[in-house]
Amino acid sequence: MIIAVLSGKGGTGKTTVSTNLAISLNANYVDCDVEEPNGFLFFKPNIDEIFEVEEEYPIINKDKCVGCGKCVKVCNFNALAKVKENVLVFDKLCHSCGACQFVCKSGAIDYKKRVIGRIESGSAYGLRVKQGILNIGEPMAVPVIKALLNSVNKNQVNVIDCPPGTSCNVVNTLKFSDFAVLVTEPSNFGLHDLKLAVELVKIFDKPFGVVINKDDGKENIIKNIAGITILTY
Amino acid sequence: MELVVLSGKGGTGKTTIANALSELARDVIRVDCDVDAPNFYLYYDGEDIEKKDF
Repeated sequence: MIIAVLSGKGGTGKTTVSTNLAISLNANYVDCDVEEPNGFLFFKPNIDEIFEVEEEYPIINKDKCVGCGKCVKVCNFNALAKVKENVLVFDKLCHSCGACQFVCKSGAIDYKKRVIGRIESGSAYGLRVKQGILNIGEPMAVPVIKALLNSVNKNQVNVIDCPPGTSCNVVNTLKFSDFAVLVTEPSNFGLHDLKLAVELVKIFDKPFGVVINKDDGKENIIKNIAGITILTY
Repeated sequence: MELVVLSGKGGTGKTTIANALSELARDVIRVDCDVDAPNFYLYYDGEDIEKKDF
């Protein structure tokens, strides 16, 4: 069972809700907010396992390259550019798809690995806790998130602390989950971004409920939206 | 002059600060780069006059 805790807006309390939920359910806690994971600040776990996440990128062998530019044309991510007779590689844009190596008739392309982040696991309060960390300056978080989620035991209950927003990083985490908890706050910004998050979970047809954080018990703009289940406030 | 407002953590008040700063300037263009969940425009009444696909 995988419970994803997400929110369109940042700072609504995803980490507060997901750490507390993990403790209440005696579940594993998984911090997928790899750009700025904060859950371990609450858990202060003893980390007993660390592994690095690597991404592959192409290396051009200049002696074999004939400068045909086929690799540049096939790259969907603009990770290769032809400048005069040379092919330049922008390794951070590379999605490691292998297309450039596939189309190269001269066999001039090899792949090399570089580290883009790491996965840390540990124990705290009798729970297993994990977090992914994307190295500062790295543009692509998805490979770290995928590596983190692949290391999760799906037969246990897992609470996943998602990144903010509604982009690839959240989509990859949401796809992996059975239920979504949307954390919001009673402000115009909270409402606006909650609507984006609701749209996203509906696209993936996931059951979901809403937690209104920072609620003062009075009427507010979130409570009256149709078509959502308020779990708590 | 270009002024950029950022923060590691979400919900700290980037949009609030950016809006307040922009109100101090006489001739200003406000740019919301939080393309995932842009909120800056919620401060102002108005309508789109131009849309471009990226």
